Amino acid sequence: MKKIIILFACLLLTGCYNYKEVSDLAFVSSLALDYQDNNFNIILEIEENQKDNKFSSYILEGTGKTIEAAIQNASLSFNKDLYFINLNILLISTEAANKKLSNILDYVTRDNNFSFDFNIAICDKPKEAIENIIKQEEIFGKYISNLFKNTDSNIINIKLDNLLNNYLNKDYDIILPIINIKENTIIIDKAAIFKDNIIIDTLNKESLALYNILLNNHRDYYLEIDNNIVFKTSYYQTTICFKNNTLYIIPTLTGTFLESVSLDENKIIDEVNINFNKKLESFINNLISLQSDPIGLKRYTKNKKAIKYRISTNIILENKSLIYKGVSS
Amino acid sequence: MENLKIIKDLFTHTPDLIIRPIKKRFNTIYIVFLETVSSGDRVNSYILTPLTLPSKNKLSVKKALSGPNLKIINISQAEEYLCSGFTIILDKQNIYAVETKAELDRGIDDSKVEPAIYGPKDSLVENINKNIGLIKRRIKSSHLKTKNNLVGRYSKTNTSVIYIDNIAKKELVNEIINKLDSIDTDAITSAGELKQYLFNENKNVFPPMKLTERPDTIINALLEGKIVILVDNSPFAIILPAVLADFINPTVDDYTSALNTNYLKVLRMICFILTIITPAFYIATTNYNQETIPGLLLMNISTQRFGVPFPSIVEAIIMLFVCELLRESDVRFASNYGSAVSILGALILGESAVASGIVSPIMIIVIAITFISSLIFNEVEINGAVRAWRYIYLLFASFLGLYGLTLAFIMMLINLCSYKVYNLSYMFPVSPLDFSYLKETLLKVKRKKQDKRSKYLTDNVRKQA
Repeated sequence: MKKIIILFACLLLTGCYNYKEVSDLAFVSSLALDYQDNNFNIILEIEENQKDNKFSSYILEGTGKTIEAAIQNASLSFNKDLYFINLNILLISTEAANKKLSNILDYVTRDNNFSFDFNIAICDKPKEAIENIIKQEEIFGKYISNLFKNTDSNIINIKLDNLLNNYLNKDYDIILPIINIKENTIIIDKAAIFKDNIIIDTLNKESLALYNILLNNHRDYYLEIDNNIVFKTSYYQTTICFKNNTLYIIPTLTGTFLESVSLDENKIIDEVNINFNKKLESFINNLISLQSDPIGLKRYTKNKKAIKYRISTNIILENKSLIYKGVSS
Repeated sequence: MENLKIIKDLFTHTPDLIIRPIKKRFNTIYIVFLETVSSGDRVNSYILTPLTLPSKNKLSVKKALSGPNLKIINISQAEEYLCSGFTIILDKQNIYAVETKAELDRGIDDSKVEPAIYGPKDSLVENINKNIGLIKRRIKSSHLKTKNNLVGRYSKTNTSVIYIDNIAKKELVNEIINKLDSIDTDAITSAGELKQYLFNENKNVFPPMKLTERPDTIINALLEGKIVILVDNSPFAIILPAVLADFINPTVDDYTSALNTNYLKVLRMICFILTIITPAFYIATTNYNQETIPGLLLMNISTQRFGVPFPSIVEAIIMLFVCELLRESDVRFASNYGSAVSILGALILGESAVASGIVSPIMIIVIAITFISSLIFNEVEINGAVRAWRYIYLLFASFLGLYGLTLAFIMMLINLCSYKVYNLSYMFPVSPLDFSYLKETLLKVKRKKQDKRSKYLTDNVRKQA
């Protein structure tokens, strides 16, 4: 009998401390953070599932000295518990990224109500972006998350765990994608690069493609040599090593030519090789001049200064052209 | 006639007691029998006809009815013999008994509780001798021993302890025979009743012995070194000791190939876990650990629960209660009404409950999985045990979420591992690990590789060359 009393006492006195009915949860799909005049301004996109299986969302806004205070203020007139585990995207303004990135990362990692599986991007007009997508009867968080996942173009996809890895590792500098609005359309074609946790420059689409190649992020890469020739990679592998005070960067691009190519493919391959080497060299020189290292080259050089680097690209052609085959046979 | 008076006194208000006086020379002999348990034809042909034949009129009863069927008894045994269907012949001070039992039992029928597609179709009946016959038909060996015992002050129920003497452990046989001898009760009417006297441990809901109606299951158990108890008037045999693995793995598995059977065995083990934890897991994940559910599913659950007035734990208990109610009414009610109950249940559970907003559709799915998983066990006792643990899990999960579920699981594991049935751990053959019995139950291997019996059940381990 004593055992049963102890058992029930334990259950009744310790249980139910985090009890939440699932129908009382408000699913936050996007969270946007801005920092202006020593205050955090937040925008929450709340996702709702209608009975007829249609999804809709609405926006809550709040301001506060801290992120928590801002969220509390946003939910003052709201009768549900905010649930951030399903968060799809965290938007940070340039101002907030420059001034309060450490606070933001601390908040989302300390709070058990956040998962590590959401995208992070820079966006200076989050309300406009979210409302734009809501008007199209879509959920902004899901829309952006799918855009990051499914797009063919060379963008970078940074989730909280990647960002924390770069933030805490001294060998890397942070890089975050930038969400822009052009003619009522959401575009992700740039990324902000950081130096000592301050945004110092942006990378364009071409630079992002090279960034992906250097980090083996396997996205399709199109290299235009002139108007008629396009080389498309199907697979690439970049090896980086450091020997005799020289950093060797050896990208191996396997792919095919999309447009008609003259009979001498070997000559064109050499041309592709030279062209790609130049592009990569220019990209790395740019990073060196900015003193930012989002690729993590410091891992290889062990913080040695005044090092040389050498790029040697291998181009492997996957399919020979039909004309080439016809003539050779 | 002093003896006749004693019998009449014993059987007052017994209208089926028939007394037929027959004049025999200068004496009157009395033929006494109970017409409800005796066959009138047999009384006529075995007793009345021989005794009334003019040629045998001068012979004594003993000589007129000579044969192995005639027993000389004393007056104290008369009651028992009369009740057993014998006819008593009172000749002065001599009392004779002639077996004239009526055939009150049904014929051997198909197995209803444990059906098998490819296995033998016959099943035990209410007649203990027929049941022993069904066993002896399958084991033609003098090593098959039967120890009879009468249990019950009034019922005098015939029980038989059956074992194979060079396989079963003698200590276990003696222990069970002693247990049967020590039973002192008014009546034992079935195997289910008797088994409650055979095991004193009443703190555990899991059954320590198995009831079966299949002779092939009995044979398998006997050949493993287990002991079988048959009870007269009961179409079920008690197999003991029984462990958890025996309930999850029926004998019918032996009739199909190893690969297909192993798939079913895994399925059954999953069902055993599912039927216990499904409602508790649902409660724990939706009320405490929402992060474990994929976002889209969680949103769907949230939408479905919209408008349900009860917390999900109350919803789960209501649904479990209604399902238990349906199952019980289905079992108790006459089978002709069974379909009506099912249709009513399906209507209440499937449509009306959801439409009226009492429960959410997802809860119907959860409870349906729970009950469909439990239907693979045909043993009522194991279903009872599963039900009890289902509520314990539900209680822990409703207070502590997945942490509570883990606590309940540890509790069940401790309970099962510390439970011993006749010195055999209930988690056998997993703990203690025994491959020979594992191959018989939880995992099926090729027939040729099942060459040993478990050393925990017998000392005679070699099964085949």
